[in-house]
Parts: sequence; structure tokens; C-alpha cells
Amino acid sequence: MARRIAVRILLGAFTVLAVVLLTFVLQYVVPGDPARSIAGPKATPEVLKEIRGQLRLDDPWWSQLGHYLSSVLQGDLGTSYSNDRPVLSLILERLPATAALAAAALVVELVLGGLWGMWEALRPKRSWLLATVNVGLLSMPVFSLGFLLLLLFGYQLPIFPIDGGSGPAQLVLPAITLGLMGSPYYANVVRDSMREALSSSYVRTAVSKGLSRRRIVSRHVLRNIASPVTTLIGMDVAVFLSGVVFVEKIFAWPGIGQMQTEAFADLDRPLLTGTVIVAAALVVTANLLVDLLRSAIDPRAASEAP
Amino acid sequence: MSTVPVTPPTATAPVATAASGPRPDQPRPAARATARTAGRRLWLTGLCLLGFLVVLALCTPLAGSPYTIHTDSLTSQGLPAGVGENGHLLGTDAIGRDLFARTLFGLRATLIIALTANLTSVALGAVVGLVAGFYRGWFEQVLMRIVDVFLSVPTVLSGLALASIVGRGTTGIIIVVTALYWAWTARLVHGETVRLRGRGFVEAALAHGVRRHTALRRHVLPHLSTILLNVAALNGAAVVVVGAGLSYLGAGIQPPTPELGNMLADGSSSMTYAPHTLFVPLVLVIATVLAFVLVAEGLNRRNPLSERRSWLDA
Repeated sequence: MARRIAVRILLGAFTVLAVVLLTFVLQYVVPGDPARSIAGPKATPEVLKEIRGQLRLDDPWWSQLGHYLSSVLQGDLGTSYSNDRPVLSLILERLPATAALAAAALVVELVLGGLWGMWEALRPKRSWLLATVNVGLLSMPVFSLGFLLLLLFGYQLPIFPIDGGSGPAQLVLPAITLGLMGSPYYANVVRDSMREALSSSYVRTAVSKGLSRRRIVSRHVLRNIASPVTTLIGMDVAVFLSGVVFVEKIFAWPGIGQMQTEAFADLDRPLLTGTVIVAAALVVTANLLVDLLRSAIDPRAASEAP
Repeated sequence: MSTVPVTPPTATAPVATAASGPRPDQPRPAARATARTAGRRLWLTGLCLLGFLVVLALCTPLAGSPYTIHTDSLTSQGLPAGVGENGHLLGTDAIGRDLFARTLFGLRATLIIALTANLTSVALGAVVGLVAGFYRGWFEQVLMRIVDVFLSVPTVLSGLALASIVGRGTTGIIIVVTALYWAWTARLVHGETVRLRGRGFVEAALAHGVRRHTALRRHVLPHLSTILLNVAALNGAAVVVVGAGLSYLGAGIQPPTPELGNMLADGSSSMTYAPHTLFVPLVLVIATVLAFVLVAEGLNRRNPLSERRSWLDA
């Protein structure tokens, strides 16, 4: 067990390091002069030379790589071109808003997807209505759903404010958008793992002991779907970090996704790559935590290969 | 007249049917057959929808220019023409360009990107997954660690960073989408290849002295066709969303060239006074994704695991 955890931590660290390396390579091979994009088109050669010196752009590649790696390891992701502040503090400033959005969306997903999946698993026949909703939601791009909800509940029936603030009222629509997108996945996993549990021999034993339906579902079936649902929550970190880019732009929610869109418009390269590194670190950490949690919930998971 | 003793209902009858009935953990053959038929209907519908969209995209020469600004089509308040007004089938966009022409050209651009990027990402992922799964050893470890790295970066967030480096336009966005999606296919194909490699027929072929890459081509690859079709359908849906999405964020096809994604961006700024400018591209994006999802869902229905029954109903 301890060895397995150690291997997982090492692999995770390796993954983040590889992402850092990848961002360096991409920045190194890219055409264009970062000094020029910082100083603007009217900069004098002296100014450009000074900036190039500050950024060590004239050093050989191995020296640049060493410097880049050591500063990233110390938590220095560079300085944003567009507002001249450390990238890490900009990201940390926006992270709480995105985390709040993700947490609210997770609640929507768990409640909707969980109830939906349980309902389908306990029915003997497939419901065509739910199957249609399932296909409809799966084929709805996250931005489409955002636009539809924005038009419907923001403009036509102005129930929720769309003024770009960051209070709980403004959180409702983006959270529903993200949550609805994820709910079919939860419903599918809950349905399939419940079906598997319901057709297993331990449920047969429970039925023949004469336990009540309610007790069988709550004590014997639901416990066995905790592990796959936990895995799905772990995977959601990556899904949310991707989906928030659209949702935050549509609903003007001031999180990481909105910042990344702005950084793209400004061609603010340190901010763009810094966000990717932080996001990768978050995804890796989440997967590690989920893995530990699953081992605690389900003893069968603990013996899986790392 | 003696009364014939009425036999009381025995308790054996329901037990007998339960015992002779199928076990809930084994799918019934009939259920499997219905699932297959329903599945076929679904994926055929999806394929027809995709074919219809491709034909629609091929009709661009009939649609007129997507760039001409018809100033006379604006109303006296300066609002764009609505659906069917002033000789414009779908109206005009906010600055008076024919929306029908723009939509067809936009659909063409979106389909070119989606179909190409789907092909390149599935092909790259399949090759990596197959090679890693079949040849094993340190080679497999290295390849799969690289796959893990690509799986741990959130797609759209890194898509923007990548697009700022490889550039915008059709080729740029195909490279970005391929880079973001190949690893998903690679992981699935790798798992399947490892499973197939352990099967008896591959072992038998190798024991017979068949060369390793011949065994790979003749005995492993044909078994992967089902999973590859499934992956291509699912991957296609994701690629349409990300391709159009990146264009919507400004990282794909640049205006004034129409693409469904950047038309959504245009439409979202005029949606309050001319909702059709948003709805027309929106409906087409949804239809394109739906086509891929229907194919994937139809192929998935053939999996009899989802037809398991419960002991609670037995």
C-alpha cells in the first residue's frame, strides 16, 4: 500500500515536470520575439536589448532551461506581459471563483445524475424519455447550453442577474450549465454500476434473506457505487477546468477560464503557459487524492496495480 | 354429485418460473437482439444526419457570397433582416451579410476541421496505443507516461495556450485539436491491445513462428476495428465541440471567414435584438455533434452489459 502510494506520487510529479518541460520547448521553438511583444512596436534597440537581457533570451538553451526549471520549482511562473505582475499570484487570485463554480456544478451533477441513474437502474425497462434527454445533453456543446440558458433565464425571463458580478445569484446559471453537462455521465456510471450490483450474487443473498428493498438498495447497492462515482469526481477536475473557459466567458464569471481567454487575446505567453502548469498540477493532485480515497472506500481498489 | 376438490394454488408455480427463467446476470438472448436492432437504428440515423450535413456543406457554390454586405436588407431601424425577409432565406447577420451563405460556408469549415482532426487524432492515438500495447517493455512505459502527460492537461485551457504558439487558421486548429485528443484514443487502444495480446490465438500465431509485426497486423488489428469505430464516433463529437469552441474563443478560424464557432461569437453579441444570428449556427453545431453522438450511442447499445437485470425483479 505504502509502496503503491509512493509510486503514484512519483508518477504524478513526473507528469507535472513533463508538462513544464513541454511548455518550455514550445516557447523555445516558437517564432517571434517576446521582448518585442513586451516593449511594443516602438521600442528602441537599447530597450529591447535590456529586456532580452532580463529574460535571458540570449543565453544558450540549456542555461535558459535550467533557469526556467529552477524558477518554476520555486513557484515563480514568470511575469505577465500584459499587467506586469507575477503569474502565480494572478492565478491564485482567480482560482477561488473557479473553485466555487466547480463546487456548485458538482452538487448539481451529483444530485441530478445520481437520482437519474438510480431511477433508471431500479426500473426494469429502459425509459425512452431519459434516453432521449441523455443523447440530447451529450450532444449539447457546453457553450450552446450556456447560450440557451442565458437567453431564457437572463433575457427572456430575467430571473437571474447577468451583470457579471461574482455573488451567489450570478453563480446559479453557470453552475447549472456546467452541472447539466456532466449529469448524463454521472447517470450512466450510477446506472451501470447499480445494475452490476443488483445482478450480483450478494444482492441475491440479500433478497433471499428477506431484506426489504429499501435496505438492500441503501446498505448493499449504494455502497458499491461510491467507488466509481469517486473516480468520476476526480476526472471532473480536468473536465471542469476545460469547460469553465466557455462558461466563464458566456456568463462573465471572473475565474481562471475568463483569465485564460483574456491572456490569449493579449498573447500573454507566461500567463497562458502558467495556467496550464497550475491546471496540470491540480489534475494530478486530484487524481492522487481520488486514488487514496477509493482505496479507503473500497478494499478491492487498494490491490490494483499503480 | 361429488365436488371435485379444487386444488389450492400451489406455492411451486412462481418458484418454477423463477428457476426456469434466465439468471439476471446473464443477458437474455432476446434482449440482446432488441438492443442490437435499436442500436442499428440509432447509428444509421446518426450516419444519415452526418451525410446530410456533408451534402449541405457541399452546396456552398449555390449559396452566394458569405462576404457581401447587403446594406439594403437592414430595416429602417438598422436591424438585420429576420428569417425569410428581403429575399434572405435565413435573414442576415448584424452587419447585413446573408446568413444562409455564411452558415453553409461556416458548416463546411467546421466539418473540414472536425473530420480531419478526428482522423489525425484517432490515427495517431491508435498507432501509439497499438505499438505500446503490443511490443511492451520499456518502450511501452515511456509511451504511456507521455500519454498520461497529455491526459492531465485540461483541453480548452491548454488549447488556448497551444493556439497562441502554433498559430490560428485551419491547419493551426487541426494541430491543436490533434495534440489535445490523440491520447484518449491511445489509452483505450492500448488497453484493448494488451487484452488481445494475452489471447490464445495471438500466442498460437507467435508460437507458430509468425513474425511479430505480422501477428500484429493479421491477428490484433482486425479485432480493434469495433473499438476504433466507437472511439472515432465519440472522439468526433468531442472534436466538433472543441474545434468550434476554440473558434468561438477567437483561437480558430479568424473572421471575416465564416466558421460556425466564430459565427456563434458574432451571434452572441447580437442575440438580444436578432436571436436568429445566434440560433442558426447553434442549431448546426448541435446537429453535427448529435450525428456523432447518435453513432456512438447506437454502437454502444450493442453492448449487452447494459441489459443486465436485477435480482430485485426476479
